[in-house]
Amino acid sequence: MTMVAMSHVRKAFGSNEVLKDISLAVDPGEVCCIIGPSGSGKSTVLRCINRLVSIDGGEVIVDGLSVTDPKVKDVDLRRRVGMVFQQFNLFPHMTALQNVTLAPRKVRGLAGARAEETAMRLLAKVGLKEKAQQYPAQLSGGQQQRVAIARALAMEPKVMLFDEATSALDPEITGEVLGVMRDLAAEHTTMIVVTHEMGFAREVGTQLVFMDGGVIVEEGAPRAIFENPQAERTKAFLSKVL
Amino acid sequence: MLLVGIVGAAMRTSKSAPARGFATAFAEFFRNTPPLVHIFFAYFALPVVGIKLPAFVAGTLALVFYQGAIAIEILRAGIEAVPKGQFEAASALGLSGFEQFRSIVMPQAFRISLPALGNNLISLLKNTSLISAIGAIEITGVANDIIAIRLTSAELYLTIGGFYLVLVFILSGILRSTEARLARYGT
Amino acid sequence: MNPAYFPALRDVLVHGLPVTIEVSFASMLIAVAGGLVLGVVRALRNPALDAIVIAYVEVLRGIPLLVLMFFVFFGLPQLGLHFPEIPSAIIALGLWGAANGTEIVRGAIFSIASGQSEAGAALGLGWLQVMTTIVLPQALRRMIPPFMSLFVSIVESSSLAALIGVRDLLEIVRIKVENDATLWLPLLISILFIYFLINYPISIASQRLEKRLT
Repeated sequence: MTMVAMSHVRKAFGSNEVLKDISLAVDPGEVCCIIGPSGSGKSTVLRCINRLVSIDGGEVIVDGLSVTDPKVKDVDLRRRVGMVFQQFNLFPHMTALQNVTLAPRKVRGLAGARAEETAMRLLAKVGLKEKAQQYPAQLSGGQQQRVAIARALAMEPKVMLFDEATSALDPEITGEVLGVMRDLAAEHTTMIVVTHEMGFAREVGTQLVFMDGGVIVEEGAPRAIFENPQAERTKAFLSKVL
Repeated sequence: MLLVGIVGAAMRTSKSAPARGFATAFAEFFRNTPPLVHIFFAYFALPVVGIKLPAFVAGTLALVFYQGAIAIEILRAGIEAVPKGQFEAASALGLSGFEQFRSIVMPQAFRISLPALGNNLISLLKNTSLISAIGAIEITGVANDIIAIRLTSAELYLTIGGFYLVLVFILSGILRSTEARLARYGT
Repeated sequence: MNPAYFPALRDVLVHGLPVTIEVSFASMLIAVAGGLVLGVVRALRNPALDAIVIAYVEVLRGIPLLVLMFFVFFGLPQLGLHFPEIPSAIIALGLWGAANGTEIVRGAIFSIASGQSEAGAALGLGWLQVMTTIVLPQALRRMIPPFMSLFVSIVESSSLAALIGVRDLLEIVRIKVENDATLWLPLLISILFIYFLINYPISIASQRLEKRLT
């Protein structure tokens, strides 16, 4: 069964049409990378999946739940979908550990001790076990983003969304975040990754989508597109970024 | 009010320690004490030392001091918000201290401070109602209880309230359009 | 020095000061509570509720406090609502403070980056949970300095209560000078300093805190 299925999705902000007829299917265990110039609608695609943005037309089915179905609650959708943001968006008034345990306690209703146990395991997984009691301001950008990944994983989501997770980081520390993402991919986590990291898209991605002007211009196997792009716009974009 | 603000802010940010000290003390004292007490002071206490002012003059003077003190702080913040490079550039051009303040610093500080100064002006307008307090005491005599002047109709207060409300809305409208016009010169 | 000064000052301090403090604190309580409720209502972004709250804030901030206080004390009895002097002053000051408090709370809530609520929502937290666990804890810190300034304004404005007969600092002074008008000068200077001693430390602390937060 398809994990995330988008069909003919449309979205406009006022008169600005950001998504025009987007159709996309991501199967369990796949790593779907979305690339494209800024303003192409990549981030909006992600936000339509967990209903941070409501769609104007078409349909999105996430793990069998329809985002347009008013009977489907926000919380049921968002428990299935973890999201990592460009600006980390860690909660500055909480420690790393508190950031990670917040949703398990408040949304899943786990007891504090059990939530902390899971959280410590996840922080260990992203290599930050010893930073559990630090506040976001005390952590480097790369560390903050790894905490944010642990925070999203704490909900045990079915699919993880990454919205330019490394774009706000200095080039020399993007590696530590990409490393964590690689590990997740190796464990067959279903991931949809909006990124400018072409190396990551090529090596880790199982599916590549090139977006421009609110439409999917080209999609397929990463290697095939990087080596032999079909559309003119894809060629132009890749020649600029590679 | 504005004059007190500009002169005070100039002193508050000047290099001269006595000028700075005086302006700071003035501003801090007046803005941390009630304007109504200032009005009482100007009207009832000054005659004790031989300065007799009509109610309206005493009231206006007191309010100018209070709102002026607030204007000093607003403009001081505005002056501090002017980028350091502007002072350096003005000095490099050989402008005198006064010229720097008048033609480089103040115009920019004024624009930065305009919204807050506008609110201060509105506050002044509303505080003019306090002057009526001494007027009323003047009419009834200090010996009588102030509340003896029972202008006791709900409609009256609604009318007065509505009157001020209209004035305040007109004034904020003018201020907003002024701000919008100045915004065209950039921030 | 006028020999009547010290006994008069004693009465001002013993009788007037507690009343000024009582009126100020009670009004501040209403201002904070009302401001929090109405400020959070503003964050709901419901057009109908927004219109009501905006109207309340604009009207209360647009009319002079003295007019409001006279309305509560002299006007409301005509509509069948009688309040004694001190409650009238507290109601007027509290309602006025709540209007200003609403703007403080609203400003602080909207100053929290939208990414924070987005991240909370993405984790599955509901609107109220996002508000109480993520936005308000951060916003509260930013509200403290402006609320301290509001308290200074409330202490200053509490003197208006004298005009409806509340026996606060100013009203006791006015009563004391009835027999000796020369007492105006020393007594008014004295209460100016009392107000200053209450307000100045709060003003300074508010400015310091504001600087530290930015």
